[in-house]
Amino acid sequence: MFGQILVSGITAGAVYALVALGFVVLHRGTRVVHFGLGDQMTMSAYLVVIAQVFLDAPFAVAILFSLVLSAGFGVAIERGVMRPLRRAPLLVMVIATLAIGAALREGLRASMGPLPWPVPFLLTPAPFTLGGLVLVPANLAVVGVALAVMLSLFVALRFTRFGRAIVAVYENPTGAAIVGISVPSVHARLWGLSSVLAAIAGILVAPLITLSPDMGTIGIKGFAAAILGGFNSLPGAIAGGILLGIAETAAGVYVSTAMKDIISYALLIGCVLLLPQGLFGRAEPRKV
Amino acid sequence: MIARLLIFAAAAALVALPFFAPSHIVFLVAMIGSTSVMVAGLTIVVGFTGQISIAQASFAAIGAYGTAQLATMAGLPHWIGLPAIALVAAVVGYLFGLLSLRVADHYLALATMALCAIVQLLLIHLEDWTGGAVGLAVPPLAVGTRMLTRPTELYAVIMPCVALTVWFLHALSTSRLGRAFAALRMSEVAAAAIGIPVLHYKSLAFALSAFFGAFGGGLFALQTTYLDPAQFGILESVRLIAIAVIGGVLNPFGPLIGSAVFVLLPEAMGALGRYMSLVFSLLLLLFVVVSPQGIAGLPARLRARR
Amino acid sequence: MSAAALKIESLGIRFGGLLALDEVSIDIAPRSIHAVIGPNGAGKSTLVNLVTGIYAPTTGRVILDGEVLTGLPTHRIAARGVARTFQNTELFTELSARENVLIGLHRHLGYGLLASTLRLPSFYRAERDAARRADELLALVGLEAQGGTAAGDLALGQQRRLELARALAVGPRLLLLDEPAAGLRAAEAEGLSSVLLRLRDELGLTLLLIDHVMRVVMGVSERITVLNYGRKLAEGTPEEVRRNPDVIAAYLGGSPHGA
Repeated sequence: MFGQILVSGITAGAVYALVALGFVVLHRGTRVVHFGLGDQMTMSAYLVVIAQVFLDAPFAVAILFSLVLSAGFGVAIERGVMRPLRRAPLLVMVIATLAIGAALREGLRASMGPLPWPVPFLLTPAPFTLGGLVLVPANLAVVGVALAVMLSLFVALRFTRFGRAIVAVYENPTGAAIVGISVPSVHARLWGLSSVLAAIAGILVAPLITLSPDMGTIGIKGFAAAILGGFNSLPGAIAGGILLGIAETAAGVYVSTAMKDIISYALLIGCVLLLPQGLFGRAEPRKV
Repeated sequence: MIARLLIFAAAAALVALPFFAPSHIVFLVAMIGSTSVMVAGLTIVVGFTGQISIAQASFAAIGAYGTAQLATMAGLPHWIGLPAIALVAAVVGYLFGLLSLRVADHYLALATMALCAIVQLLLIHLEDWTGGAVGLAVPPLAVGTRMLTRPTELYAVIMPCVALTVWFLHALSTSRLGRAFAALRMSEVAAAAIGIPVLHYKSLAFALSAFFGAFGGGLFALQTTYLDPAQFGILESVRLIAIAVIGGVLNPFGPLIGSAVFVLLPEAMGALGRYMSLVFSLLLLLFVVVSPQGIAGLPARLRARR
Repeated sequence: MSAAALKIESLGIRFGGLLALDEVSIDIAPRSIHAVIGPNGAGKSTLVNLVTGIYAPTTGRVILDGEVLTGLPTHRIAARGVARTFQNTELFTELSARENVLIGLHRHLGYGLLASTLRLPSFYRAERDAARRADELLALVGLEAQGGTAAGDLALGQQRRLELARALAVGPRLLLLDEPAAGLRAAEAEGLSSVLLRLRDELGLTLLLIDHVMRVVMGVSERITVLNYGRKLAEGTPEEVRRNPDVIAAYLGGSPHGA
């Protein structure tokens, strides 16, 4: 039983971890929490469906289509909304990102209809057993892809110019600007990067749950994972995601499936109240 | 002076409205009224104290479901049940404020968002209390043995509440408490150094917000006669924020203006109605991007006009 | 000498690995002006934040007229008669100068939510008295003409004076001024000195003055404490401090602000 919870929990957790990474990658560099990121997941999944169903694109092309448009969308938000707002009060930024999310959700509802769409997936959802555990190839693929994405993210941050500029802005924005890194262009990249992470999470999760305009609520799980991880640590976001996935699956098994979501939201509130620096983050001293 | 005349003329028109307007117009105006009461609460938290709350729909849900169930299950008449549940919501709001206002900014937004999600899930899963996903019928408002169900009758009940709410916002903004709320918005540390109990006042703002949210929710319930958990989710909270921002969060008439836009425009759009939510989201976005000080800058503009 | 109005006992605070203030003790006599000086990062503003309860100390305590302030939240310390200004002015910038002072008078406006909503006579009486008091305070700091101007639109010197008026509105016994002369022109600094002396002599306030503009400090203070790297380096009359070799070496020697 416990092994099975672990397997299912890690599958859900891998997706949460990707969303959480999307939040953290963006927040660490720009101080913005993007309340519309969950709805961007939905948008990206719809883009795959649109490319496949309406443009007759093969699966791989459809995914590429979605990822490229998603990245472009993220950059467009930075250029069109966040850059003009960079000196605005935080309240205004929160409202702006909420509005972006609502616009996406309502746009999808109006154009694609309120009903769920079937999402094709490469691997079969038929389960097989291995060592007493029921495994689903599709779920394994989710974990595999998520792992690969996280790994390449860390490699990119460490070994590419693109990534090193981001890390420099993370560590010290003023210093980065002094050594000639363009902070606004890094911000644009971060928006693109975080949008791509959300897109991958959305495309991975859509076949497992139902793809409807309201799928973006799953973004709150990403928040919870990011908060568990401290909101400023990338490994923390991953650990937070996996932990949340396992906790939620266990709650579904031992308490009730109805309580599953409630428990993860309550976890979010509890963590905000009692442990605002998360399990892995550092508290930052306040300056007057 | 002109502003006063304008207010007087608008008030006179609203009093006269049920005597000449067709009943569906009366219904719509009363809907604007009940929405504006929910939004009034939000303007106190967002406009006065500069906090973000994505839980206003939850307080509206407490008011709506509470009003309905106090009548159905406890047999309490609405005119007792509605104010009572609004007071309960205020207490809940105060306690939630005490807990969560220790953290600021994004974390507060996240905590209120999670609260809103939890309340909606409870509405769905606590079927014995809420009717679950199917929804819940609201017993009509009764005075003695007479049922008030016609639009004009509900109008006569709702609009005085709206007038009182507008007056409250005005009185608050020109009182020591309103000034203290504004102080919190601009500098918490300076407010504390002056002797303003920051946590208590922020929680108080949350309590007022919950009170009006629940009161407006209760009025709304009387009008719609049927409650559905889908009406009280995060999206509804965001819609209420949009109404507050577009109407103007520092103007006592702001909630009324914003609600009028949000209720009347979809009616006027007819067949394009399904794009309305999209239009409103984009309108909200445009509003904050074009005039990011639009939320905070209103008092300065009002002062300049005076 | 009578009992000290403000007694700071081995006050210390550590931020992570940094010891920002290390067991500093200062006694301040009632109705006196006591200055704390020191180079940037010496712990001066930290001291003010500890006395006003914005930070919680790691060691020591603060006693005002025999009552322990340490552990109380900031707004309760203010209610005990401690007011302050801020190094980088913390005004309510969107509000008018008069409204800033009115907020300072918050605790003295006794009416409640009911009285203001129903506009009871007590509301009008309290508001009228407060408006008069606010105008008096604005006049005291020379801002009588600026009452309707948004605080954010005032010049820096005016903003500092407005902060002073707002702090006085609280009705303090002890006033903490965090670098009130920073960024002021010479003439403005002169005006400040005379205001500080009036506060002590006419209102009977105790002043704790943080600054590194030596001209103001030397002219008005009875005693001066010198901080360096979070430690007390010297203490005494302005003359004693000026002649102290440690102070000259650590601070005055390297500073163009010196006498």
